[in-house]
Amino acid sequence: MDVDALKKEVTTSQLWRSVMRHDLEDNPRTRVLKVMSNLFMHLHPVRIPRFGLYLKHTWCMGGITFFLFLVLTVTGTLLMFYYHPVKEAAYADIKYLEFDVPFGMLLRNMHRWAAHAMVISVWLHMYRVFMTGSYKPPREFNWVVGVLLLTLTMLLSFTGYLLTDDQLGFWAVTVGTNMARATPLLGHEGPFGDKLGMTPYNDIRFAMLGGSQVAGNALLRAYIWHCIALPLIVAVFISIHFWRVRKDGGISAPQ
Amino acid sequence: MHQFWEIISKADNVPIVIMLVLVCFFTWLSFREALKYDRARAEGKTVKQAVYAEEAGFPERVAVWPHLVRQEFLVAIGVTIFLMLWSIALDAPLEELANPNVTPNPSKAPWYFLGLQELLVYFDPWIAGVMLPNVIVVGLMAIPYIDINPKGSGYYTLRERPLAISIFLFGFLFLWVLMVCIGTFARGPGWLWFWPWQHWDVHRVVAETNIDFSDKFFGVDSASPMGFWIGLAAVALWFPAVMFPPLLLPSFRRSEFFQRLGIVRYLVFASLLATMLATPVKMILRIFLHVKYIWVTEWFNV
Amino acid sequence: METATLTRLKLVLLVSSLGCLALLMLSAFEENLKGDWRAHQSAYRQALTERATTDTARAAARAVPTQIAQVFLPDLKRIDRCTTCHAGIEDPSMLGVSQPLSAHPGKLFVHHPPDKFGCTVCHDGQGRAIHAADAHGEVEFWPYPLLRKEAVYRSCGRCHYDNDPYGAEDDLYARGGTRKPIDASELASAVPGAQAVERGKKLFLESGCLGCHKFRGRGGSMGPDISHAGDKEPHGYDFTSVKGEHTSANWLFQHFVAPSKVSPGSLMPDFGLSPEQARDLTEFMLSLRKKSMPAAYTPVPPRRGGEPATGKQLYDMFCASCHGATGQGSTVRDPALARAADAPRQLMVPSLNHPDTLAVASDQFLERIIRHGRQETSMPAWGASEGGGLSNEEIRRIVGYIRSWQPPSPEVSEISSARGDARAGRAIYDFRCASCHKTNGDGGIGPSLNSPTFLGVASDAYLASTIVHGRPNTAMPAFRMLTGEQVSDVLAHLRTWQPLRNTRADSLEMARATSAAAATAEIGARLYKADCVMCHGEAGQGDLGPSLNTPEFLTLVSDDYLYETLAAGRPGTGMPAWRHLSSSDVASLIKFMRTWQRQPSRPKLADLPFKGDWDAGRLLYQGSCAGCHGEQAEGGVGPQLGNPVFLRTASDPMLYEWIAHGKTGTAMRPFLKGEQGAVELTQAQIVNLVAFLRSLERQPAITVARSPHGRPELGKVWYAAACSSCHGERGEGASGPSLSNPAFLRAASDGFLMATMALGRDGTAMRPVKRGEQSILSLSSDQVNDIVAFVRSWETAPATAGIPHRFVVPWDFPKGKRLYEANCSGCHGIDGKPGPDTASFSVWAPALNNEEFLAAATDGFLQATIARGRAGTAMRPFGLGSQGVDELDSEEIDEIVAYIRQWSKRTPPPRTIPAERPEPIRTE
Repeated sequence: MDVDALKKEVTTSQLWRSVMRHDLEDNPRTRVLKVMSNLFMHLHPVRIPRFGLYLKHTWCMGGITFFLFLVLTVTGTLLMFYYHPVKEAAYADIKYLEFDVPFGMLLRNMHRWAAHAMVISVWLHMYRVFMTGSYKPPREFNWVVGVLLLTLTMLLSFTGYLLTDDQLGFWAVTVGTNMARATPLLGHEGPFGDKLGMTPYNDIRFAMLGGSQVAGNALLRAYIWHCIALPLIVAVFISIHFWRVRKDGGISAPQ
Repeated sequence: MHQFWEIISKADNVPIVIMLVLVCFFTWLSFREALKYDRARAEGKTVKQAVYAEEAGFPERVAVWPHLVRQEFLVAIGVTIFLMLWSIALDAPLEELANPNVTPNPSKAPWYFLGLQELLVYFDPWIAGVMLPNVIVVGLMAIPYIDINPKGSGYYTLRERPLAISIFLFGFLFLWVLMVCIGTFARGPGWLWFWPWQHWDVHRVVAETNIDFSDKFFGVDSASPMGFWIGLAAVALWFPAVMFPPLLLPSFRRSEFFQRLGIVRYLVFASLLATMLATPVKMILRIFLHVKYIWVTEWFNV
Repeated sequence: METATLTRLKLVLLVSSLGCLALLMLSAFEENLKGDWRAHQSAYRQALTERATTDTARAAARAVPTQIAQVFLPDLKRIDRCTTCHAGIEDPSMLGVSQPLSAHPGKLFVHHPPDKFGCTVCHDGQGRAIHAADAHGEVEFWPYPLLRKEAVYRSCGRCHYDNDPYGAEDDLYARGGTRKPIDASELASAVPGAQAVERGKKLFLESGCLGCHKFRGRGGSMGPDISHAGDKEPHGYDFTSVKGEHTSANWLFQHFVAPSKVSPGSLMPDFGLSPEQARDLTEFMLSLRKKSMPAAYTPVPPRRGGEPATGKQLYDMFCASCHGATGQGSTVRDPALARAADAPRQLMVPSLNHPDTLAVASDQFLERIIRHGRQETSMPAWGASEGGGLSNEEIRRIVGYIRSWQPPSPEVSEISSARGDARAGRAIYDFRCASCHKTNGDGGIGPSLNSPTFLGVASDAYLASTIVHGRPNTAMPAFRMLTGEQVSDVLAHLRTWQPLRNTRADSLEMARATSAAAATAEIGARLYKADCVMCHGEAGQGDLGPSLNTPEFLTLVSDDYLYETLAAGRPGTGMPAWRHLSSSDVASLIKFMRTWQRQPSRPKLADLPFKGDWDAGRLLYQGSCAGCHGEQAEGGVGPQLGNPVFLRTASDPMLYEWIAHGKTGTAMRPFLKGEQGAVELTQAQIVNLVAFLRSLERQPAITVARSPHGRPELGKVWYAAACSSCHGERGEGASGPSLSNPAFLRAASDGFLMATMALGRDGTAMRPVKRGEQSILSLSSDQVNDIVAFVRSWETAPATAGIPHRFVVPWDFPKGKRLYEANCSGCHGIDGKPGPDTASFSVWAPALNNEEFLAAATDGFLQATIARGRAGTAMRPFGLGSQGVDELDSEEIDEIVAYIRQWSKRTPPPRTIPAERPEPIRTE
């Protein structure tokens, strides 16, 4: 069997050519084509400053954050198969994941730890961008988008906290949302809230929880924010973020 | 100490320990790079020479394929392996079924919000829980528009942007990361301060009498009209007190920095800075002088 | 980039990708193949193979699959995979094999097949898990760890709520825990341990836990409700001071062993339980579950039956923990003080068993206090409507049991002043009676006793009954702690105030002497008019009392007869003993009565011809005499024949004469054949009758005489006009004593009532009301009889107006307040309540200022308690001569009572308030 002949046969077939628009030879042309002709690779420029390869410079935190987002999307989707966002079932579903579902525990662990890791990596990403001054013109707006993404990341994590319906999540969310009571004007305990007719049953906390306390409605709201609304918003902002990286001149480097 | 180990090894606190290690490491790394650059510049090299000092002779730009792509793949796999190891070694916490009648003591927010929860000790919730987070987000967003120093874009340096970096590090390391750590490791039942070697005693009571600002320094009841005006004056005077002294110096007004910044940018910058500095100032007043509120009004307290 | 570098990088990529895959595999292996259950199942297979003796058995052993076994129970929302490891659970041959392969012990599976019930419904743990630690639930954050051995009985209550061996609703109370479990043998055979629950329950019932803890609607409220103690989760407990694991069982156990150590400041007393007892009690507590299973799993309650709990059982359950097993009282911790100070201070719980206490406390008082409790003391309200869960009938049974601690009352019929020793009686009187009646009997809180008229009317029986039974709800206690002898002594002492001022010899001598200036018929007429005319009529024709002027009477009776009747009276009837009349007065009266006599006396009557047959006479009496003289010869229309004084004075021939020939002008008809009477008797029959009457001398004294005169419906009208202003509309008492008091009606004869109305009562505000010289009203004899009949009617139809609570009239309010604050406020608080800065409960003495107490306690109760103190508690006596803290006279005590009473908004004020303080009347 002639391996080279077979390889040639395959790589020249119509099927192969329909998928791969370029040769596999390693030369400057294919290197460019590999990036240009692939949707995912196309996010990258063809060439980047050499500087961008240095981990001591980039810390790779943006990339890790994005990768963790992907991990969270995949594991989260799988978890959704086993989870009912209702008070009667939520906790039992977690137990079900732990005891019954094949790889359920691994799945849940990875989702949890990836979420924490993403919060950390997004902070460190910001740290790095500040330390290298990468928000400076022309990248000001992308920094703003980044700050929004950082906020959204924490909100994603926060909404996910409640879904296990255990004491840990319940009280973390209770403590967190109790602060909303004190929102000026819109919270019933906040400055001027009572002047505007705010009560525990119509203020901003009620809107967040769908009730005056953390219960079934809050669980459903947290679930929808966590699984649908926030990921969509984050995806949009990530697109903008990446797109602006390219448009604003790629990864920052000394001029 | 046993207690401390118990807190650290709590599954949900492991990320904080990891974060602490990473923050320390990256702070060291960025300082090393910055000092290296600053030294090279001091020796009279150009920016590029200083940055690329070690890789002189290599091409400045490289093809993404395979250099970057392969790096990304490696990192992705590395992260995956790290996550899997972590997941196999440590199970995600699942406590008892949520029960509104059983309040854990202390009740803590998710760890990344503990900085804000810690601020609740010093501020009323409408400040610590609502106003400050918004100021933080807005303040972060405002950074590119306030910091108009053209230098230091794309490389680590301390000497070329000392003010920006010191303010940011103070905010990030002390007002955020340190607060998270305090909230996690040092706050026990009743949100009281516990040193690592202290047992988290549920029944511990700390007798602490806090009095209001006007009482403390002027002997005026903070709820009285006079106390109201004193409090208002203290809060209202804080901002000008931080913002205007430099403006009084002709040398500052004539400086290139101020000239480029312009009065509007300066005022935005100074007011954000004043807000940021107000936080540690209030903490110090509270911790060392037992001041509860600066300004007591009928509707809210500051 | 060089090819070598690229190749190396590819290699790194490959290796790390493979590493990633390897980790996934590792995780899969860990999850699926590492489980211990495979080893357990293979051990089970091996065990079966070893035991197999036949080929089929061997084949069956080999065929045991290796798989995760599970029971799916959608109704119970459970999936139990326990049999994955516990493979031999249903295989009897595996009994006793080491776990996890052992068969389930006992016969529990007969009614609880595992494919229908699973395992975790009884054993808890996490049924879904297949790793031992998870499955057994012995991990952090799982509040329901595996229940092993006897602990599994904690789960029975989930389904057997109504009929389990320890949880049935009224099983605990109504039957005192005597009912048998549904299937005792099934329980006992399963795992020894059900007994622990049973023992714990017994301990629970007998230690008085219900005194503080509510269980399914019954019990006190000082401690937590323990109806569902078994469902309380560990994080509901404070483990600060508990060593060992943080489980409910451990907390409860340690708490039972040393309550104050586990929860400092707890009110729970240390019962000194042994570790075994504490464990039993823990198991019982943990078995008290909420009913939480689907109806299909909850068995139908069995038929109810059995005896209701006795008063003693109820007392032991609800009262004994504070008041002591024999009512000796105890101390409990004060919750507020316990919180305030490190060392909990003690609160006194009064004793109940002291005879003095029980003598004053009426049944109604006890019932009300039990039903409504006492605010601001540790006494909870036990009535069903008050939240304590006890029915009125049960409360009555408890009171009955408390009452049983009182000594039995001495027999009234055996008490007589004649038998008593006045000197001994004086000592007893000074100690027990003088604080209310004064040493000289002038009266204070209690009425005066030393008036000769009163003593003349009051028979020994009346006095004895009053002393022994008291007057419930007044200040007069029931002195059941005295022996019959002692009461006789007291009576003898009382009788010394009624000295005999005449002698038989002198009286008879003077009556005979025609010349005696000191004794004339004129003097006799005046005396008669003053003292006798009310009852015997102007001319001795009889009225309330029998006629005196018939020839049959006057010719037959000797002066001696008349003297005896005057001096000794007719005890129990309206005829007083006129012992205070001098010999000349008696002689004058005899002389006056003789002026009615037209025929010569027949001083010497012939003896009866033979001795009669009293038994035959009895039959005749029932047929011919009982209609007028009463079944027991206690009197009626006719006089009381069974009266001992009468029988003593009247000779057999006299009786014979009166029966044979009747009394002219009275209702007494002649009975001898040929005398034209209603009934014609032979001489012999009359002799038999006399014999019967004579035989009555040997019978016990008649205690109460009733007369059939009078019509109650008319009496009601006369009563309302003449008596109700002092005695209350329904005899509940106002400024005068209560007449409807059952003890009074039991003690007082109709004659006593009549005589009191006719003669008044010296030393009290009671004036004569029958027409006469000293009378304030002029009631006719018929009216008096009607009133007597009306008063008597309360005996059969008790007044529904309730107990008179308030009869002390405040005359000097500031004085009462002053006296209260000087003498009482130190313990009972300035306003009868604990002050704002003191504990929630008063420390030394209970709060008085609450409606429950004031509604239960009558003024009389307060008077008696103040005057005599309360033995066995810190309450000292304050009455005269009591040698207590202070010596208050009756008016002062009354002012204090009135001051205390004004705190009550609910108890109505006294019905009638005289315009001024009534002064006792003294005739001498």
